[in-house]
Amino acid sequence: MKVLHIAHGHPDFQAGGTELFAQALARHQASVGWQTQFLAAAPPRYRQINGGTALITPPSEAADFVMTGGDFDLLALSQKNFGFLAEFERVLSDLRPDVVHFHHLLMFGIEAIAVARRVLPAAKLVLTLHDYYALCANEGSLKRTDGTLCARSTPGRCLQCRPDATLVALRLRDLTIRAAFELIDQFVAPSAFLAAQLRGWGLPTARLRVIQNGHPASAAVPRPAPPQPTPDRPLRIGFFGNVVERKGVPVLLQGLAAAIARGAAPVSVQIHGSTQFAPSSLQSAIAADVERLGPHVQIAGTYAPDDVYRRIAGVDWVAVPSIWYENDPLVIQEAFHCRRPVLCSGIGGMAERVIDGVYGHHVAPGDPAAWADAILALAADPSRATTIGAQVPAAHSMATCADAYQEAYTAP
Amino acid sequence: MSAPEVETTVTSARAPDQSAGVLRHPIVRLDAGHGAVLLADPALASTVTSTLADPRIDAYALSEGAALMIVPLPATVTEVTALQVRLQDQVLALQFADTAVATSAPWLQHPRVPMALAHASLNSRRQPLLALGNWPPFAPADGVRQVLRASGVLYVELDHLPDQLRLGSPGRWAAAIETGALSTGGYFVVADLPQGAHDVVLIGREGAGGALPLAAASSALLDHLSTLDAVQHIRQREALGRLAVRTESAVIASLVRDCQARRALPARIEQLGERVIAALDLALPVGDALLVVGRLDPLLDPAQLAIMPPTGTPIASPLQRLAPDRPEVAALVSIPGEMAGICTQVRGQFTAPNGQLLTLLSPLAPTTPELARAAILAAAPPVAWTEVALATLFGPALAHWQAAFVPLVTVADEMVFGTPPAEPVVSIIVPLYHDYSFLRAQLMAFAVDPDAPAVELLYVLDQPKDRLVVEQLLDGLTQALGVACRLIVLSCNGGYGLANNHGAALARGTGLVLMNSDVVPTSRGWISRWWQRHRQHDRIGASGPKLLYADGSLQHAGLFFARERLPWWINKHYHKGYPAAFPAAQQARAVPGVTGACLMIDRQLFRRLGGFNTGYVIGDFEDSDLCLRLRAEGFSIHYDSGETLFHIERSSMRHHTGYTETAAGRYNGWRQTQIWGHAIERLMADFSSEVPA
Repeated sequence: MKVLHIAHGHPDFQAGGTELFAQALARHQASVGWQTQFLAAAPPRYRQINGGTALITPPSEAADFVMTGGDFDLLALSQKNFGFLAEFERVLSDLRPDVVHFHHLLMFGIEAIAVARRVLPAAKLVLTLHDYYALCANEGSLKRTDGTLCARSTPGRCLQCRPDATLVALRLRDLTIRAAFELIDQFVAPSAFLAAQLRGWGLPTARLRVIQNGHPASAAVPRPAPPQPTPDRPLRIGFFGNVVERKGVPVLLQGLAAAIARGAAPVSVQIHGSTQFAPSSLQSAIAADVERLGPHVQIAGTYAPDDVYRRIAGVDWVAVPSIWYENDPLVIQEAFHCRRPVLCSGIGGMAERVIDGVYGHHVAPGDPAAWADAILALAADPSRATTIGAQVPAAHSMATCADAYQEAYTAP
Repeated sequence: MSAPEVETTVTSARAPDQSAGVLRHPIVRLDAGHGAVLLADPALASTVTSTLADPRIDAYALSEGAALMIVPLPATVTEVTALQVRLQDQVLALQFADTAVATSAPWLQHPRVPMALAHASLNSRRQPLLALGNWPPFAPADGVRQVLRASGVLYVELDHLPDQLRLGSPGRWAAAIETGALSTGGYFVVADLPQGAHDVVLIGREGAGGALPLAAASSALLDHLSTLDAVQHIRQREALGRLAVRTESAVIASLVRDCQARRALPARIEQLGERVIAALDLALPVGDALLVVGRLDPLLDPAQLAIMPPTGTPIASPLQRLAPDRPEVAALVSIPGEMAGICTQVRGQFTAPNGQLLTLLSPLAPTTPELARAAILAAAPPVAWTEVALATLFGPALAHWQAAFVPLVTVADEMVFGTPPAEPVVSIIVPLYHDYSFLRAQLMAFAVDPDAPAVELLYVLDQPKDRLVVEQLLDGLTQALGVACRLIVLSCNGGYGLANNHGAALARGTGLVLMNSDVVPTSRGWISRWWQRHRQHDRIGASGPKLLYADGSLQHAGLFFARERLPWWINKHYHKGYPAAFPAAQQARAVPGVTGACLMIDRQLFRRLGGFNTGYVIGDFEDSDLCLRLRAEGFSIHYDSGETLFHIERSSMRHHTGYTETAAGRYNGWRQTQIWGHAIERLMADFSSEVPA
């Protein structure tokens, strides 16, 4: 079977969860003898650098297709540049895959679905929704601009979040996405939570299934032993990921500060990840928190994807304080692989993965006092890290995930 | 030999003086009815010229004491022996030494003879001018500054203006002469130029006048008139206007019209600070009538404003104030002879209360039907478009110019994108104007619709200047999305009715869906389902679906007629603004009408009815008019609640609450009631029993 995987970005440019998973699935399918190809879009700053074509080779010189240029309208999820779509069409006609597997609609636009359907009438069009972009005009987060989480998206409610848009534009966005979705043969949601959101929005149940994201390195990297906190050092809680607003780093740091103020047993927080995507206001807020917390917090900096396991092995708990409905965060899989318990916001895909009390603990999202309580409790009982760490499951394997996708590709 | 008719009875006691009464030269025949007699003796000549009392004879002093007498001379007379001339206190008996009537004489070449002959003709008020074969040479007229000629008009500038002025050339006098003063001193004269005139003389009473230097005359009349200062120019063109009217000359009329266009004087209004005291906002020919619209401060008397069209004769009736709400707006219609067509700019003259004379000028009237129509719509604020004003002023004016406009809207080009079905079941006609931001959504919906192979999508571009943009958009979208459509480009912006009519004329489907560009479907297979239901009953003429605003509230669930503040019926939608799930709106039923924003009708039926009535202006009420016409033919109108589409209605102004307040909205609404008032009354009486829940 020939499968073309399409993501909105390439891991060489930004190693987001969706991009990594899409590429990893393609690699895995190739490893078991399928013909696969990975196609990604380059960031907007990459204009056409090869004469006469929008395609480039990614920096790692992997044999992936990367398309530059285009004119993408984020609000409308529309690729306006007909030349870009024509180039996309060329790639499809040359590759002639049996399955076109979209992992995102950004950069390519919903028109790309129509192009794929037209060029390859017999192919299966599969769309894995890794976030809520189809429903949510606020960066697909289902997190409203007033800070609350969105229970139900409508063009009118989207307008409340995005007063810079117009009701007309939001209505047209909704109508055109629903129209384009008529052409998709199979929708996949990585979590039951996301599937429920989509069903609520009106996605037909018959064409929707849940497949957990497989974890790429699960086979290659050996699992360490569960954490063994010792009295001579503080309990170590680690954050791993891009430091952006909705990942909730300030909540974690403020919780830590409050816990310490209330006389917590020795505990520290490590922040692993890049701050380059954070707005300056966030960066300065974190810097202020770090200043106040002194030795209790360490900024460990960015890391290469493969390095994450070593770093996770160096903490006792992994914190996922995201303040939005994380769907299937890669970091939870990485934590489970390393036999580390997870302390996370009790919402969305996070809550689904991390069974409260069994694989970790839930905390009220965005609530520093609640995080303070949780940190106090964990610091007071360091052995819990070992107990729970021992019972976390292995990361979902790519093999299992790929099998499930094979079923999806071949479903009638 | 027969005696001349002039012979009178001798009554004088004084015996004729032999030497004085004998004329050495014979009488000379001038033409079939006149003869000339030379009085060479100074005493005789002086007596006759100063005391002549005979109305049938003219006497003129020549130089050197001689005089010339013009006498009636029947054509049959060949010899004249004697002539009796009545003077004030005697009768003069004259005898001819040579009795035979001569046909020429050397003394006729006397320099003053031609003027005398011309005066004779003037006095006798006879046409044609005394025919002499060729004119004896006239001396050049005095004080002639310039002579211009063009288009059957002779134009002369003079130092002095002779009394009883005549202009003429061998064969005839000019039929009409107009004169006026020059602001630089002196006078101007315009006259209709006799055909083929090459020797033109200008004469007045008392021998004034002479030949005009036509050889030097320039044909740059229009140029000259254009260079004059405004006041002078207007004065002259109004003189030309009077000339045109009196001679009924189309050529001179055309010159008057060209004058206005060439000089292109700007409008003049009178203001006191920000406030407009008086203005003439529009002067527009409407067939053979003239529409004038202006503003006059409520405290001033319209009778004080004299309006002078280019035809040079003031309009008799004053401007009438139109509406109590806007008392300053006033208008009239006049019939300035048959020359309305040249009245493209009128002058107003107004005496202010302080005695000051104010001059107004209307803007130059537009020349094309499209601009004329726009000018009428902009001439007065909507509240001034009262029922009376519509019936007498604006209605006929718009009807005239709309009728002139309609034939100008044609199909300029036709294009195909992709491969549309050759024999579609339904054609969707979508007029495009100004806002193309919905094309993507419409084509996306079409791309995923299983009905697509049986449906033809036909866009009509009603703003041809956007042609390139629309072509590129359709080209890219149809290719990317894998859909097909046709594009028709109109020659100019025709409006809703005309755009749909042209589209329908080229459509191939059995059924038509007339759809606005801002209508977007919500479901698949909507056309086939709707068409199926539409055809279930023979008597359904038109049907329309449920339409929603962008926020999901009801925009249309059937159309009805209501009387509100305006003195005519307006169109309304049932349950407008209510939630989409409002129970009464889920009920498919017969309704008085449906909106043209999304309307289904059989193509042959639409064709048989002649499409939309093109007398409505810009757009609106054509849809309800169509429904009323269908009803008149015995069809019913159906609200089909089974299909729902969005009618975004951001860009089209038609259903804005403000729309009915526009001039076009008022005209269209008034017009619909003019045509259908009684039918609507009966219709709504029938429907009122079912008050919408």
